[in-house]
Amino acid sequence: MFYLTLLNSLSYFAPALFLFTVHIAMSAFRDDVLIHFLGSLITDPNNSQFYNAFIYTMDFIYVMLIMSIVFFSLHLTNSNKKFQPYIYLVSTCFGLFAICVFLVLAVDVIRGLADNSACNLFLI
Amino acid sequence: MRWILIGSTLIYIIPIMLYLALFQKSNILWEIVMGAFSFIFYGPTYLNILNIYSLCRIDDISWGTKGLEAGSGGGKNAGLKDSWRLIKFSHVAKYVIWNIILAVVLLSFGSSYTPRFFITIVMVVMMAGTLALKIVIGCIYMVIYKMGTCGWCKDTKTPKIVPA
Repeated sequence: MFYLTLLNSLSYFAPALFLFTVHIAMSAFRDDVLIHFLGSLITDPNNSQFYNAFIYTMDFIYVMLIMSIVFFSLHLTNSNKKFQPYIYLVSTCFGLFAICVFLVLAVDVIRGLADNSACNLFLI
Repeated sequence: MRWILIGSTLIYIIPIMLYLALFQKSNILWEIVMGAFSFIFYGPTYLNILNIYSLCRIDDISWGTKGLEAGSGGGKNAGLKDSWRLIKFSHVAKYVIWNIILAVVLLSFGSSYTPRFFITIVMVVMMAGTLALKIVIGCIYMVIYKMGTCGWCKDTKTPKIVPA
């Protein structure tokens, strides 16, 4: 019973937990990838509006996708011709988010094992 | 936390090795390797989109509910569809509101270093615990299944072929 209740609660709060995970993964992506590749264009990463807006833009896109799924699910059925490609599109976007989270976790774990030190972002 | 994550990944070796030892089929390894990417890719779809869609269509009685065609006929089930729709909107509203509250709390407390550590470690421990429990139950089921099919267990209900 405890196991089923825990799984039900985890799946019930899955959108919020996944948003938190995506938020942290995008923070790591910004620090490791964006600042690395755009360092020559934007020299001061701490005061850059672009870097700060990147994470919140990703959060906004995620929330909009979730809310649109709720809205369309309330008003359309799975046999609707416009709803089907939209479901595939949102599923692909979520899959890309999940792959980003997995890559960030893998890179941080491997880096932590190689350096034998804690990561500053994930504390892994 | 690093070792919890590594352990969560390496714990998959236990059922794989048990399966290999019990059933001597190595093709499962290739299937797991090939299925891992799609499992990660479609995980959010299973967890989020299908849950949301099923919750938003909880009043859909167009299948498998013989005798409960509500509303239009004017019979004793008239008005049932409207009440179910009201219940559905109530559940969807609770779902959305609770998720918004939790997301705001997590993102607010997760903006600083120490709360983020505790939030993340609670999530990782919960997921690792459920995964470990799932693997233990799966391994027990695998052993019981093998005992039943090979005749190790005397109480098996497998029919025996009696020679004429």
